[in-house]
Parts: sequence; C-alpha cells; structure tokens
Amino acid sequence: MKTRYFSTFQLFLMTLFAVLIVVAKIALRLPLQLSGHSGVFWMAIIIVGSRVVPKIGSASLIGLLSGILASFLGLGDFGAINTLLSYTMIGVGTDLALLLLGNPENLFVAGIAGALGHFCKFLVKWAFGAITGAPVGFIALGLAKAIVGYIVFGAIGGILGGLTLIALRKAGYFKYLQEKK
Amino acid sequence: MFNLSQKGKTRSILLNEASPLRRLDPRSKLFVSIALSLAVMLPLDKLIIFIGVYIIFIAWARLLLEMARQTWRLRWILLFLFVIDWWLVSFELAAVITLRLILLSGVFALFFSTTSTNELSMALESLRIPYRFAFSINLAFQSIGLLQEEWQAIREAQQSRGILVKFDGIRQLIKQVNDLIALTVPAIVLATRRAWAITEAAYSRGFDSPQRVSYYQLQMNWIDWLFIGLILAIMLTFIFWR
Repeated sequence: MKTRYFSTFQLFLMTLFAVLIVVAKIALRLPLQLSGHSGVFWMAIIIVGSRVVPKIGSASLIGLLSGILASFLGLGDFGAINTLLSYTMIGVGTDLALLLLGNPENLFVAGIAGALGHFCKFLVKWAFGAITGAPVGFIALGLAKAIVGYIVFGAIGGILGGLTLIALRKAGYFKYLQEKK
Repeated sequence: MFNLSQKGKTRSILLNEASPLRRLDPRSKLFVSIALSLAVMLPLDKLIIFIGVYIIFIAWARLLLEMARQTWRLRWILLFLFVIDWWLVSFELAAVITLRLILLSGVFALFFSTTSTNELSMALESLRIPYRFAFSINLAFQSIGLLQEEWQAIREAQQSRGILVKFDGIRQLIKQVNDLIALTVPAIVLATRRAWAITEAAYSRGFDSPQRVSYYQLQMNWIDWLFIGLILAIMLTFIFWR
C-alpha cells in the first residue's frame, strides 16, 4: 500500500482543527476592540495542531483549510483572496518558526512561534497594500498599531497552545493518539 | 446552510442562485477571477474604463450587492489611504490605489458567491489536487455546524462549573490564560474523537481505494470556453491597447 505523508486520520484531524479555528474565530468575539485579538484561540489551535501532527507542513495545511473555509464564509475585510492568504500564511509562519525553534511544549518557544505566526497575517495585509502600489511607508503607518496587537495576541495564543499541549499530555492524550495512528 | 453567530453577528454560506455564473463550471470561474485580478497592473486611464466594464459585467452577473457589501466593509481603509495618498503624493495615485483595492477585494466574490463547496471540491480534484485533500475541504464545510454545537456545549459546561471567562481587557485576558485551557482541551479531544470516527467510516467505504470513481464529474461546456475566451479577449485588449 502506498505510504502517504499525512495519514488519513491525521488529514481529518487537521481538517477538524481548521474548522475549530473558524468556529472559535466567529463564536468567540472578544470585546477588546484591538486588532488581532482573535489570534488567541487561533494560534493556540494551530500550535496544538502542529504538535499533534508532528510533521512539517501540518500548521500550513491547517491554515490553508481554515482559509478556504473563512473565504467562503466571507470573513475578513479585504476580500476572499486576502482572507485565504492571511490564514494560510499564519500556518506557514508557524511551521517555519517551529522548524527553527523546536518543541512548542516549551512555553517560551510556543509564545515566540505564536507571535511570529500571527505576525505573518499582518505581512499579507502589508503585501496586499504594496501590490496595489500604495506607498509602503503609509501602509506601515496605518497598520503600526495593529502590529503590536498581532504580536501580543499571537504570543498569548502560542502560550495558550503550549499550556494546552502540557494539559493534554498530562491527561494521556498523546498515548491515546499513538493507538490511533 | 448553517449559521454561526454570537451577539447578532451571523455568518453563513449563501450561494447566489440567481447569478448566470452559477451555471458555469467552477474552473472557468476560477480562471476568470484570476484573469480579472490582473487588471490591478493597468494604469489609471485604462483602469477607469476597465472598472466601468467590470461594473457592467458584475451587474449582469447579479453580484453587484456582494461587491458593494465588500467595498462598504473596506470603506475606512479606502478613505484613509485615499486621503493620505492625495495629501502626500497626488490625486492620481490616490485614485489608482483605491480602484485597485476595490477591484482586488471584490473580484474573487465572483467565484466564492457562485460556487458550492461540493463544486469546489470537484474542481480541485479535476485540477489534479489529490482526492483526499479535496475531500477534506468538503468535510470541513460539513463539520462546521457540528463543531459549533460542541464548542457551545463546552462553553456552557465550563460556565456551569464556575469557569466564567470574561474578556474585559488585555490584562484580564493574560490572567485568564489558564482558564482558557478549560475551553481548548475538551475541544481538541472532541475533534480528535470525531476525526477518528470519520476515518473509520471513510475506510469502511473504501476511501483510499485506487479504483475509486466520483459519482459526479465536472464537464467544461462550450459556454465555459466561450466565457473564458471572452474574458481573455477583454483582458488582452486592455493590456495591449494604446
């Protein structure tokens, strides 16, 4: 039988994590009035997903799937293509960060990976503005306040993801997962 | 159809059944969306004429409401960029950037408002994306309602146990990170159990069988080729016209 990079179970698991991201994003609207606050649960689920499916590209795939869902649901202010790219880039950024930093069960690593991953969403907004020809400095100025929000909430989300992983390990979740592979 | 909502904010997938684009093959709509988005490279004089043609096309496709809604959501960003660009550079630059942003933000609504999730899945498969991944996208859409109910149940269960997560400010949020685990852990476990149940069901139906054939097949008709040819001709005219 053909061996696949992601098993069917892992693929479905990542799919459901992507759905969780979108559900959490819509159902849990925090009244914080700050850019990027939705990143708390978002990054937590991505960080958990990248550990539960410990392969390069798992966070990217979760990001891509959640991006497709979000595009169809009309989330985001810059249109479907920006939503799709933003969500995907969060996953790609997290994958790259974890590739360099290592295990997200270390809360420091999880926080940094969360912040870097979430910051990639901001980069897409910035690139989107730059493609249209808008002066890069103005875009950066307009989004300056948002940058801090993206980094802070991304880091909180990353730490939440790390804490969730520790709690899952204590609860025997990873042993349960071993049986299912 | 499903609704995800809290505090009056509802999200749902609404297909525009009245649009003539609804009858076209999703691959042709995807191609047209990408082709139209290339218009962001046009200079201002051509872009203005293109936007005129684009609005006529959108009105014919009965998607004007979707586009207007998308532009309305962007209004403050557009206004900010327009004023700043006009003030610091020139009116021409301000106009060109505003028009490009309006075009780029709305053009993919052509695809997303007129394509069902099943059609998207079939289109991806016909574009040589592995079936497993195309199926995952479909599975994701089918699971939204289910996971939303479970998420809500977790929240209510934790509230009944006294875990009242209040989001009044960033400091309180940091203090409550430990309480948030009470929401994420059961959600992850439930998603895992659900994924395993789906995997078993999929295998019992021959999911990974190499002889699997789709019941429905997409077919490009003459109308799709005509539509692609027309849009291609319009785009080439705008790009090479002097």
